[in-house]
Amino acid sequence: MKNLPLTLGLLITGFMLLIAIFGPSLAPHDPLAENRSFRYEGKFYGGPPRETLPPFVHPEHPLGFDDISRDLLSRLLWAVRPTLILCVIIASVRLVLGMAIGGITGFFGQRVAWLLDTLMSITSAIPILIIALGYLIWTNGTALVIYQGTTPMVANKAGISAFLIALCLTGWVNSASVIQGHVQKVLQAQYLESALAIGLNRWQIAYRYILPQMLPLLPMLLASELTAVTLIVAELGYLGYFIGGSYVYSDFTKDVPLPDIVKQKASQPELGQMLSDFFGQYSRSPWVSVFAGILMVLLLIGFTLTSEGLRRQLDITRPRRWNWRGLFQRKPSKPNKTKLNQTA
Amino acid sequence: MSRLILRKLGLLIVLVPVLHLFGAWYAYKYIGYFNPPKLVITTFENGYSEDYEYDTQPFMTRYRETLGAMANGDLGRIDRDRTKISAYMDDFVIRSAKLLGLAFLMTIVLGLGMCLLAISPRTGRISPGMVSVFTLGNAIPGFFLGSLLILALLYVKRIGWTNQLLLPVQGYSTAKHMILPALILALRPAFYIASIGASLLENEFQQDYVRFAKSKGLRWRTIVRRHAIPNVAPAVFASLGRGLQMAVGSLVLVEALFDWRGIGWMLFNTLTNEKAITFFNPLILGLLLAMMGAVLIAVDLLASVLSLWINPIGRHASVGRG
Repeated sequence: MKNLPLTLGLLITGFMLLIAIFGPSLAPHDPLAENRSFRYEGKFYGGPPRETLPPFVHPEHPLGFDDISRDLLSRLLWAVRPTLILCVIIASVRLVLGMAIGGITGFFGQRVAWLLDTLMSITSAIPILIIALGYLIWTNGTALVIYQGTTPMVANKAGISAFLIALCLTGWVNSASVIQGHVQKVLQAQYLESALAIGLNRWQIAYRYILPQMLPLLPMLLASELTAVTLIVAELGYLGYFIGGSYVYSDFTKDVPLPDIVKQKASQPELGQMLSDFFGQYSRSPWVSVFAGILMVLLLIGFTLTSEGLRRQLDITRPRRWNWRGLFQRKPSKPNKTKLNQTA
Repeated sequence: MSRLILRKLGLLIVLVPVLHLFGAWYAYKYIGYFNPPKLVITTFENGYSEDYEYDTQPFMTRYRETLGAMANGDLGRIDRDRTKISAYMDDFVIRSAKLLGLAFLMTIVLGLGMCLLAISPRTGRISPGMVSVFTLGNAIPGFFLGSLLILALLYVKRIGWTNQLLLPVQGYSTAKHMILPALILALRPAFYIASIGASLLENEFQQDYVRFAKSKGLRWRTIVRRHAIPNVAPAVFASLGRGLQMAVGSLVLVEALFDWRGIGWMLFNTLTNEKAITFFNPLILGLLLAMMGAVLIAVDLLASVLSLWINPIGRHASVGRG
């Protein structure tokens, strides 16, 4: 392998992509169905009053149940798709914003470069996790169960747009500064003087000379944005903020009018959501966070390796033997000797 | 280079008050009042009536009052039980400072150590094993590693390998409680610094003067100490700032995970826990945000001052300019 990180990263990302595409149709059970009383080998498994089915015990539920007795394998297979869609949307929006702003500030030169520098320092002074948390709480309230009298009201209703705004508020600055630096480097080139001399205006120069030189950067920037976004989505999920609604699980252990076990559980499976509520479920079903975390880490490793590999591909100081652009390049046509000979 | 430091100092002076204002405004807007409603009991001849007196003053009036009190050294009180904010918060600040201090120390030691260990003396390049270690370390989120560690410690106790937990997993009372959170805080920044430093070192070892020093017969250790490290140190110290910022950034998550009652825990509770006495308190939220921002900028500033101090070129340049 010439570029091991890129190969491995693309393999892992491709694997996760396959799960995202085909996972839901491969899922053996309904991810939302609760098996409240499930009997296997003389033991009862089920929701909170009962024990949970551990992994590697039942052949039809190889990863066991989650803490309110839903099939974990099916939930995991369903969970990758929304997370991946969310991360890709947010990362591409951040990239497009960064491209536009970084390109414009780079194009206007040193006079506006300090603006982006200052913005960069300001955003590094507030962790993006706190910004995202602040925005999500601002628009959607806290993620905890709110009781109104004895009726629990579900508070967590953050949608994809809230996440998009929360993660894009300051997230674009990083790629903007990379793009800006690159534009500044390109602007030093002498062929731009000749382009000015033949009478091209600014927009033509930007369109014909600068934009094509930005395009090879895009895959690497996209991969590194994906890493950052996935990490923050995972952290927000761990803190209890995830997309998709939740419902209230309740059960009775005693003969009382009100249910004595009330839990707020997410309905639609999503990786960030499965990482949440670690302390709520680690005594009953610690494997949920472990399996969901492994999938999340696979996703992160795939993105990290891909971005690292792409960075190596672009790094001209490294010895290079193989180029991904070489795949699409047309081979130079061989001079047709016979024809030349004929004319001669 | 010294202009960069001046700019960061200016940012520190401007941004911290702005963050304080923003935090107070955010809490005010969310909860709807600056001071919570007061219960007023009016007594009549034949009985009494309970009434709530709402705070109807606009935000800026209250904020100006707060600033005036702060100038006199009074941070105000928490209204639920009238504790002084300064008396309530100082324990939290000290705990966070302890944790961050240990985490910074671990970051620097682990990061620089790994960066030196990563280079293989034979080829002068990063050894492939360490590349994969760096990638893994950069990819695994801290909270996942932390929860895995907690589960492992509990499992070891449960199956009876140890009589008691090897390390306390939650709490804040003893020094032993500090080990796990500091480790989790330090790991990712350490990997970040190590990967950057190692790639810089690798770049340096391809230079001709290293080959010349090798052929002169210098020992590997001497080459590293005399030639490579002085050339790389300024850049590594500059990246140290970003690494330490990462550690401070994950403070909220790690303190929430390990129940270490510092300012990160307080911030998380202020934002999410309705039963906390600090829940959306404008005074406290403003102070917390300002403190967090101040630490983040100060860490970056410190790292750039260090890198300037180490770098001979930058030092002479700043002397000449000054």
